[in-house]
Amino acid sequence: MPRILFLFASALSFFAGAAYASDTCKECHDDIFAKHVASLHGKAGKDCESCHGGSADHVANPSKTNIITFGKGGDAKVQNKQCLSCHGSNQNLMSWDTSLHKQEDIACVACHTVHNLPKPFAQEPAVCFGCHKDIRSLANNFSHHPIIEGKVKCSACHNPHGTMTKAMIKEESVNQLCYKCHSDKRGPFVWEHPPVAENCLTCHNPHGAKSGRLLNEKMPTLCENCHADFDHHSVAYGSNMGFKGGVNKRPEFIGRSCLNCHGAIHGSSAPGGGNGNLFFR
Amino acid sequence: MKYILPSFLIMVAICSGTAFAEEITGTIGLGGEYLNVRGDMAKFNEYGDIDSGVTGQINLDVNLKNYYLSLDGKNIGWDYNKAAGLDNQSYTLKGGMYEQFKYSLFYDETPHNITFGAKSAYSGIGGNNLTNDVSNPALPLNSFDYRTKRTTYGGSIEGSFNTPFFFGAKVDRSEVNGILPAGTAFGLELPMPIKYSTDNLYLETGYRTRTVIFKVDGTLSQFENHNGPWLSFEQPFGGGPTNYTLPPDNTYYKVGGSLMVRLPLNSSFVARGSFAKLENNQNLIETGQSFNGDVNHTSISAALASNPFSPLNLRLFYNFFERDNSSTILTSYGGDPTTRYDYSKQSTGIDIGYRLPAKTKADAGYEYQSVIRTREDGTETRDHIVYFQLKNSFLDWMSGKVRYEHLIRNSDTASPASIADPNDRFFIDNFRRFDVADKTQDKVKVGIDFQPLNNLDLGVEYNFKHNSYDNPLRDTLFNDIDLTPLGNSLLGVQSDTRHEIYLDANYAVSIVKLNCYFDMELVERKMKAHEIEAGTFDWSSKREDTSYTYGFKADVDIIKDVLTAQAGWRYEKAYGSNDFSFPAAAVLPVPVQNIGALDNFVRQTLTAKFGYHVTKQILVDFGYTYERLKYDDDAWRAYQLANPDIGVFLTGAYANPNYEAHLGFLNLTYKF
Repeated sequence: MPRILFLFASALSFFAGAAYASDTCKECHDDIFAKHVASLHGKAGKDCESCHGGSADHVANPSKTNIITFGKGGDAKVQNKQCLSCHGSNQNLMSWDTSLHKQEDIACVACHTVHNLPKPFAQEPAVCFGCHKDIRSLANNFSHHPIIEGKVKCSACHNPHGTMTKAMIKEESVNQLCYKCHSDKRGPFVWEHPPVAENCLTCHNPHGAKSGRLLNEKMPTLCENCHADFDHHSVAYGSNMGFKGGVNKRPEFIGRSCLNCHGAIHGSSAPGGGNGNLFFR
Repeated sequence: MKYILPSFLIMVAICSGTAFAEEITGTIGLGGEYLNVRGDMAKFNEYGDIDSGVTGQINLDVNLKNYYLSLDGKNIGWDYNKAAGLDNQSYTLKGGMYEQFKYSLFYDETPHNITFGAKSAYSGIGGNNLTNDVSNPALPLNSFDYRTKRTTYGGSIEGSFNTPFFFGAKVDRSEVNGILPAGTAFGLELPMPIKYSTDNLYLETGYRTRTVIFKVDGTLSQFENHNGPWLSFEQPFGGGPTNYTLPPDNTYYKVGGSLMVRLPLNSSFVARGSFAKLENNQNLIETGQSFNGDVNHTSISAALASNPFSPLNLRLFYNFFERDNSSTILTSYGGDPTTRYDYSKQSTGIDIGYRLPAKTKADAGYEYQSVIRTREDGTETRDHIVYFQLKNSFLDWMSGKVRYEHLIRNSDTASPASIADPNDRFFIDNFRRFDVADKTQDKVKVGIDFQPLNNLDLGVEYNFKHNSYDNPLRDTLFNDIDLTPLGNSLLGVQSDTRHEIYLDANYAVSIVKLNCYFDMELVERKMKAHEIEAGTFDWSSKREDTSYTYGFKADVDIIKDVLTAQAGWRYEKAYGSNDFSFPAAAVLPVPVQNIGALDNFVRQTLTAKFGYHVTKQILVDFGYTYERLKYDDDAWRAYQLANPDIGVFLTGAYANPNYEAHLGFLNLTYKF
């Protein structure tokens, strides 16, 4: 019986304390309090002290130094510890401790807006572009995945909370990731193009590119980077070999260039003998 | 399905709304657009469906004490010109009980428009049997669109019921329909029919606490090409019918397991292993042979992170990945034996971070990576990567970061003596494909953020990357080969260099917020090739690409909470060139002119928008967008469909993407 009374008293003091804390906070921070109540955290029953820690000292002497604060200038380690006290057991965050973002001291609140938005989900892609300016530039390029159009999210391919892979991609290899949407490229094909089978990034930049079809550079030079040893693929194709080139016009240069003929470049199941094995059909 | 799911979602929302009216918040929007496009509508609308018509959106949140439900509907509308629903609609319904379970239903359409009004003399476009001899100039041309639409729908559920055990399941189907271009010998562009579906099932379950998380997961993905594996087409100049292979059906299975353990000394250990199998069976109709595709992927990864005392962070990692192709080997398929491509990759490394005084952190690391391949020209590559990084945020108004990374790659090839084919032998002796070549790489990154005033943020970033493929170690590996004729300089990519600059400024004063930015990228690549078509000589080229973008955005609260205005301007320009050099003794059949226009484009976008709050609940916003794209490239100038002089018959895919668009819009949003 004494144990039950003790537990009851503890629970009562806990809830009373929480109510005290939130009401007291509201006296000075009424605008933030109103937003918190309307937010997902507020609706899930979290009070101010859940994140900002004990407030008695802060109430006695209002200062940023005697309470846990979030945002710029704060220690990311201290801030993240508060978030992980609830979210640390989430299986989607199981690689957080070994992640690149943790290593770079990125605070959870750098991406998650807890007070000012009703839902604290990261606003993709804007929040990612804030740091990854090179990716922002690529995603706006002439050829790009529909990231800025809102049809592909950064988190469709990357887990910002960490994975075991480079660039924190969500599959074990680049190709396994790309094939999740581009399952027509999976094969298995009778004739494989080895750099295609190994890494899509050899030819494509998934974020965007100046050249069409997310290609790292324009054909025929893209292909000649590997195929410049002999035959028609080691020819210097100049601007006089275009549609207006008359007798100099070359099928390897005009329009889609190498793809005018080698359309099955991702793999083919047509017979060899200069067909499937050369990705003609 | 397209209409059933949205209707269902809206019904659920209405029912939920009726039941819990006082707990509902959200918005409903209705609007209209007027679009005028001169030029390529497909490029303007590459991933969208902006056109004159009616648009709408809905957002609904139902929040009870323990239960929540939200509905989002975007791009709900009607395209006046097509007399059809928009092609980029999306709907998501999410719900659940806090810390118990959650679920979602989703439906999304994503178009990819490439070229409208492409032309071909083929009959049967859209199907898998193309008839007619396209070299016959008397045949009329049929018009069609190169475009695809991806429709994805499905649902997911996950939960833990407030216990340490959790589960998750997701099922979805993705359908892609349309037509894409496919080139085949000899320069014949085919309208390739696309009718794919992929069914995916993902399951996971596990146990989680603050100190231990364990999970197992499984994936089943089935791809089906509803047009079958072959496209039959008539060859020009009376060549008769033949076949083009379409992507084959396949089934992909994957199982994996992950473990995370939090250890003493602020340490964590994470490990994951997975095995995946990809398989199919193909009947090779032209030879009557059969092919069993069977590709396995195995991965093992482990990482240990530790923060044993305050200033020090450590991370050790190891990754193994293997692709094992066990598909059928055909000793002769069309006269050639088939081969299989396998590779295995291992990497291991360490990262060390140390906090120094004055809010400075130093990081350094080393990684070793080895890739073993069944490729004669790159049987193994070994990478050594080191990096150093310094970050400082001592001043309240400034923070900065400097990083330097260096990579050395050594590679092996198959023994040239073991290669019988003289072309292959020449290749191995003299040519290096850049992806498996010896190289050194240097990367530098410098970034500084300033806040000189409370309301002014400035950001500057510079990135540099240089790859040099001139590793002299290669020559010593093949000292049995006389490289003198090539001047001891191997063929292939010699070097590439990249400079990037990014500038940002944000300023907020009173009722005005301003943002301006400037991005610039410069790329230079040098290569050397061996031409034997018209004469035997080596030529070299220098390709340069430059892109820059600048723009500004302004937000003004003209009357606080009543009238707002936004304006933005964006200017993008890219240009490139490729300059060739030939030895003085080279005999060229025709002079080769340098390429002066290489994916050149200019795109300008102007937006202006006003928002007027009629009441607290009703917002009217209206505006105007102007966008112009001008593209130029030596390989696309004066595009011709029929080029019988070189036997090339094209259909217009990707040609002429230029456009100029004016868009006016008006939306009414009701907030409740």
